[in-house]
Amino acid sequence: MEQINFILQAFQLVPFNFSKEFFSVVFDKTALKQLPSAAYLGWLSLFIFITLISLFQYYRNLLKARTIEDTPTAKIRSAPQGYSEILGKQYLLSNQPIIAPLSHMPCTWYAFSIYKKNNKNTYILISQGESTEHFMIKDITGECVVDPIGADVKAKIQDSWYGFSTNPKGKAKNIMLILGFLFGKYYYKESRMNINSPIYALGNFSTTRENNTEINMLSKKGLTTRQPFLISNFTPKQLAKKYRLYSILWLSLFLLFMPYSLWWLSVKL
Amino acid sequence: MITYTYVLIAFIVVTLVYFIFIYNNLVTLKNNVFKSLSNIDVLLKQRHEELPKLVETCKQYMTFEKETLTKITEARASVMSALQAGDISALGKAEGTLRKGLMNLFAVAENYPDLKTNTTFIHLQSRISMLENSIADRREVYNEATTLNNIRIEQFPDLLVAKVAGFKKQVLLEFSEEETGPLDMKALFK
Repeated sequence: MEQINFILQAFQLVPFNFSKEFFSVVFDKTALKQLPSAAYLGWLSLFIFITLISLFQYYRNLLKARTIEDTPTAKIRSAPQGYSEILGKQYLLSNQPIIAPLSHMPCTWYAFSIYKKNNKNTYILISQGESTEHFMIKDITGECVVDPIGADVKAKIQDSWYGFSTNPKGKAKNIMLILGFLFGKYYYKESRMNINSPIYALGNFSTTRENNTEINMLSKKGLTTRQPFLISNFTPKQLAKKYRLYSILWLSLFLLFMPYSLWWLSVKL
Repeated sequence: MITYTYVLIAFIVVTLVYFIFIYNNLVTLKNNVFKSLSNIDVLLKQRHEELPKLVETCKQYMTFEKETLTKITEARASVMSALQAGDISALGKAEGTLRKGLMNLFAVAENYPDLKTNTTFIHLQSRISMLENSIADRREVYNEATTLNNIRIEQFPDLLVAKVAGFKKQVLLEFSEEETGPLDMKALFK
């Protein structure tokens, strides 16, 4: 508790609105020297934290991009047990459809988030979730059940709109879309993967035998930190490009914050 | 001046991290190749165990096809010895010979109605065909893993790490040209 108070106190001691004064202070060594120790340490910790996180994220996104580019694609009928890459089409596992909660559209996987406008006119996240239902991948040689729990899913369909309740009855259309945008208190975001659309998956492939039937399963189980579990309906090339872009963005952040953290460190040394 | 030093330090850190990343990636690629080969190895051993049963079953009916059966037995032994020696080129050649031998055998088996209806033969034929398909699929995976490895170690900047750390090109598993060429159906049904 004492530590939290210390950090809170530290942040209050430096102006947080990014005004002209703020920037003149943060690049002025003499001004920073007069900063109370608590504020100095608080900001320094934040900069070091951003530096480390950006370096970590740079590495992780680069790893994902390279793993996609460097893993050979296996056919389901002969996919080896363990870390495998599969390309195919996605289907429902049973006749029971998976329905996306905000758009009410049938899909194989969804993720959603609902934001509510507060008094300060900013949107605060009030609810979010994603599908944990199994679905199926089929290629020309066989089929495989996918357990999406723990996967980094990148879906092509990304919908967002404004509305008036926590339980929208599907995506707003025509006039309601405009009214929602103008007066709606809620902002919805939903991503989905459509049934019968192409799919790319990289994860732990395992085969079990039940009543003389072989069941193939792709899941996160048993993967190491260097083996990302990825599912997407983007092509592998598009997906790798996406992760490369993310890694460049994180790298830029690192290259901004690391020199600045070192400079900040030198202020009181 | 001091600020430039900090920027330089940041670039050095990034470069270092990037080279560590490349090294780890090349290790993964090399292991992918070995893993893909061992995945083929598993199937080759399974087929190695099934082939004598097939030859024995056929011998009972195909009294005039000794040469075909001998070729299969010899090719089977060649595949296993190439596999044990880790010689990919020899493995590709032997595998090609064995595949051609098996195709010959199944084509010739059409001339023996009793053999065709033998349940053991039917079971072994379907089991071996299934294994053949899986071997072909895994060969594709192996060759893709090998190609990815070979491309990376020739690309800049991976090339620098590969040279320093001694990463080498891997050999593709290719069936000999004679074996993958079009089949002489007339010769098969002589």
